[in-house]
Amino acid sequence: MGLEVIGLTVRVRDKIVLRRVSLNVDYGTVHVVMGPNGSGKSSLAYAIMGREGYEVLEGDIRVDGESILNLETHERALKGIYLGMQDPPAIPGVRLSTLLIASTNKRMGVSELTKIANPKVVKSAHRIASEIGLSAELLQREVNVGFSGGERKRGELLQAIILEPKIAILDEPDSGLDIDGIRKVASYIGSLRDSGRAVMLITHYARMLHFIKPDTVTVLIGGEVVARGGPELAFEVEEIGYEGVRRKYGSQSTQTVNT
Amino acid sequence: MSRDAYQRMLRELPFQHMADTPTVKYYTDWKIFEERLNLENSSIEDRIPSVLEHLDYNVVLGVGARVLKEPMGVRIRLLGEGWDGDPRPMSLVGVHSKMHAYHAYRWNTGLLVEVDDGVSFGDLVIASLGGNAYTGHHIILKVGDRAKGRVLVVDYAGPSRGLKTLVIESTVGREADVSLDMLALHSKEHAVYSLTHVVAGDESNVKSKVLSLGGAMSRVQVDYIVEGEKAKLSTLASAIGREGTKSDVILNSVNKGPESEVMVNARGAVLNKGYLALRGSAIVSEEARWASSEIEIQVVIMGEEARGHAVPVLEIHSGDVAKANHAAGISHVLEEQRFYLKSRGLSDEEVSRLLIAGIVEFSGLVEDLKLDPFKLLAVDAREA
Ligand SMILES: Nc1ncnc2c1ncn2[C@@H]1O[C@H](COP(=O)(O)OP(=O)(O)O)[C@@H](O)[C@H]1O
Ligand SMILES: [Mg+2]
Repeated sequence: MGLEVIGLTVRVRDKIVLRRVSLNVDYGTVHVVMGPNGSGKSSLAYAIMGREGYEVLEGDIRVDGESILNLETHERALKGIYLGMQDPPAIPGVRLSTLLIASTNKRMGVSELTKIANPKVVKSAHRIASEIGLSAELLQREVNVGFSGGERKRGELLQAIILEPKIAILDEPDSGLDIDGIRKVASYIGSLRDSGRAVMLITHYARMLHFIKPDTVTVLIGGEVVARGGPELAFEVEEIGYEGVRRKYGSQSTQTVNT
Repeated sequence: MSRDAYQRMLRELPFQHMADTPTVKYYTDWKIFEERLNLENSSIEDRIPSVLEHLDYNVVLGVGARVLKEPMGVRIRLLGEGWDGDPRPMSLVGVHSKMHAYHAYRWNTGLLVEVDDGVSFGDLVIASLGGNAYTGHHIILKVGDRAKGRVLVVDYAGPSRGLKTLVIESTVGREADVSLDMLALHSKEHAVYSLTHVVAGDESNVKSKVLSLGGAMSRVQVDYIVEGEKAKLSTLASAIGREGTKSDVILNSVNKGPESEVMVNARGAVLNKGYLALRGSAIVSEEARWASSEIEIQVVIMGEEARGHAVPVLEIHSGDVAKANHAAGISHVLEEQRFYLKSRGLSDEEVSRLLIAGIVEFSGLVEDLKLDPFKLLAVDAREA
């Protein structure tokens, strides 16, 4: 149970960006997806979220065994999938607090977007913001407008925690953070897992994995899964590089490394 | 100046002496005003729409004027049609264009509001209501030294085909700390010419929140003359070009006082078949040494056949400035922004509503006055 990606091939414009990618993210686990730049990690996240322009040519995406391919992005979100974007856009005019209220209201089935349906949300937003090193003042600012790289990442994580998704996909939540920031983010990812959520953690470097031990690691290169294993695979990537991993595992017909 | 002189000027003066730009020519569609110049005076005044009923009005200007209550330390006097005493209307703003002359010649209801020195007067809320033809309101506001409080003008123009002119001439005394707020809500049938002139004294602190939802043609202009030494002005504005409406919202500032500070921040949104020019000039005059001026204007185009302009102008005549910045942008809602908000669980329609509400709320007035942004947006020609 959780998220299943089955033999997924995705085209963006004229380019195949994912080729027969399969992976499972079970509840209460962290599945790390690693790969060099341009390997298709973000494309995988977008395809799962149903972004326009990411055309699924074959395969399926399932949540708790049910296909979500026919759902729109917001319907997938309401099924409990959350995507923390690698580079979330600025939304001039919409305050972060307003967005938090609107999106939590939606999840609670409240049609009124801007009235606070659950006052706890505001309180916990303040508490969590301060815990992950975001100043509360940022909640009153327009979403990502003038935010530093680190503030954007923390804003995405904050929403991941507040929205309580079943499945959290975090696309490079560590980039742009210093070591203390990475440690904090990692500990929150740990608590997402501990509270039973399925976490898909996308990262380019293994450094964050010193602080959060993944259950599964998948290496994606050129839109294809070239290796899969346990935490040790991440450190192997760190040691021999993606090129090394590709050479070692890429030629094998089986993509799974025995753990 | 006599009414005859105003009448002559009305014939002779142009709507505008110079084109705004060679391409756009005029940001205001003057034809819509011109078509209505011959309207009779209104006989029926608009009713305050239900979204704005809960506000605690002190004065209502419509076809006539009603003073409902005078806050402590505030004196309110009615100025009848053609009032020619002291203070003299138009003496601050001058008469140098057709609409100025028209207003000077025709305004029919006026108010002199004087706030005594050192008074904390709380809130003073003035409604200016349109009618079934022409209405003209003139407000002279004098805020004494060290006075504190908020003046809100609710400029509402309802569903009849009409024309309204509203001119507010205000002076803010030294060390006064005031909010001068303006809510303009006009129906698709009404053309409104609104001009507010604010002169801020030494070490005064003026905050100004402006929210404009224009109508058939709404020209909403606020000129802030920051005359006093170390005077501070900060303006937050929201402007919406709703479906089938035209607005030209102008926020001008002039730093005259040494070490004076100006900050103007405006956000606009244009919906289907709407038109919105959101512009402002920030001028730092020669005598304003070590003054600062910042202006930012952003307009988002959100609909089909929507047209928008974001026009900031910064002119510095002083040799020494502390800070001078201007920024502007016009943008469309990007697929990336839409996807981002949808990924948080909002449908396409909700994304649009949230983006518009965000801009409506930007000035802070909606929050201060406990207004529902969606109900405000829905007030239109059909609401009686
Ligand atoms: N919207 C898009 N338009 C064109 N090409 C794209 C788009 N999105 C992704 N790609 C291409 O798909 C490939 C995978 O990109 P991406 O998923 O962003 O990789 P990663 O996240 O692993 O760095 C790259 O070659 C990229 O250029
Ligand atoms: Mg990426």
